[in-house]
Amino acid sequence: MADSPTKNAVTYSIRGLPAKDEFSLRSTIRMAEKKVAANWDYSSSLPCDVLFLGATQQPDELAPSSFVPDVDATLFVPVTQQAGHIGLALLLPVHLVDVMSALHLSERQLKAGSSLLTATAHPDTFDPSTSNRLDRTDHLPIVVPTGGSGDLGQEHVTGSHIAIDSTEKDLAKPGYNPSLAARQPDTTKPIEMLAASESPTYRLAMTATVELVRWPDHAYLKSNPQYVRLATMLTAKPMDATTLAARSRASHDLCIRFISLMLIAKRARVIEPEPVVAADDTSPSDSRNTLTAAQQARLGIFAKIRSRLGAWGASA
Amino acid sequence: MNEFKIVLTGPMGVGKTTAIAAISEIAPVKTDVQNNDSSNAKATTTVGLDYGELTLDNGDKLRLYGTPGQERFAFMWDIMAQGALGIIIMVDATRPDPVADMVTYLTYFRNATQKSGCIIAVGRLEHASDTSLEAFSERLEQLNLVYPVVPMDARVPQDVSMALELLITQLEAKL
Repeated sequence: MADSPTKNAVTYSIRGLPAKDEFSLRSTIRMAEKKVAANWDYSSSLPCDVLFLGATQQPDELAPSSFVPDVDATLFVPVTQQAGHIGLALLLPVHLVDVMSALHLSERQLKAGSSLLTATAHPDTFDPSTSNRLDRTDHLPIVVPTGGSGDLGQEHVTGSHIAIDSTEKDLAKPGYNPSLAARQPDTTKPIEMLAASESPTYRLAMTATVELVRWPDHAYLKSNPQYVRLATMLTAKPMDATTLAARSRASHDLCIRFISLMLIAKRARVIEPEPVVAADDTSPSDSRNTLTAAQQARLGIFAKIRSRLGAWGASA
Repeated sequence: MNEFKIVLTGPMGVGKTTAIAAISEIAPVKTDVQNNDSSNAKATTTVGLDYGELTLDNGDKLRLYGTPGQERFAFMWDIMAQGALGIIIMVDATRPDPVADMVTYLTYFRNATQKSGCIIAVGRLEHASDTSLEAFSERLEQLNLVYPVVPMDARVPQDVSMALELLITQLEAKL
């Protein structure tokens, strides 16, 4: 039977999952949308209302959802390393009831006009046949930072709350447009939020030397034009935030935030820094001063090429 | 006067000739002939190499070389890559298996990319509904490689310039 014509649409996209897992998740969402207020329409490209992003996520490492500027909300989908397979894959099983919870809460947040919606579902530990889910110590339902003004307060919702209240049926009222209601052009706020969160990952990113293990998804890079440059530098060699900032001339804070994001998304990993071979009066972080004359000359060449490309771009 | 070389490579029809023409300050030297390869519909194809150049402010030259795309010219690729600052591997997202194309050229240019820099530039993404940039980065990860994977329209000078700029950024960071 066709859905009610009064249902409004929420567009969503998926990133960070292998194609087969993306298909599985889309199928599950398709089934779950029958039980929620809005129609969930898949979009292969951004912008969209909600982005499902594959990431290994800890509750205390909640990154602000809208670091992707073209989406209103991001739902973090648990992924894991599977034995015998290369790369991350969707953490299975995914239960319909958890997806329903996520869709429902997303709709509620979009309706409220919140610019911040970060949810993480951990379906691995939830067995829908278990009636006492609330009492289980391993239940990890949905964690939603509430409010759009920087409040990182968390609302825990369990499977018992997935029934849609009648008062929320007005989501389906004609004229309601969650996209227009929730879209916020301010893309700097999420970064500030991440900096303010002082999560363990952020603190780790302040000092750790990291290497990129995979080129970041386009969705991450679109959030800040400088991220492409920072990621490119990390493809060359492992660096810490201080070195990355010195070499890229980006702010130290931005580099920490970028490294945090990469660690959360499992696109980078912490490695042991190379030992300092020769002690001298030069600060280790000021690596530019330790370059040989030949390397300095090469840097000069690169600067000239960049200048030429830039000049070309300006005249184009 | 010093000379520096960057090589653009990739399958036939991916836009190497177009990319060089997009940013070269001289009329690019082309060695295109009528295409007799029935597997590709383009009218002409490069059988030698493409060449363009940019002059730096001190008179040095940045030379851009485009390889012939067909694998039967692979004997030339290694020669062309010798001494290059870096390699830009161009792939066409609308081809049957663009990720495999990338791997093919990574294999052929393995020596050069290990010594220098490498960028993966993906074209025609907007016409490929079942291919994303992430498919390329995922395959690279499986090969224990991490290279920038960026969209590039070979017809758009800014796109080509950006790919080159990223290559330079990568090389700088290696020092």
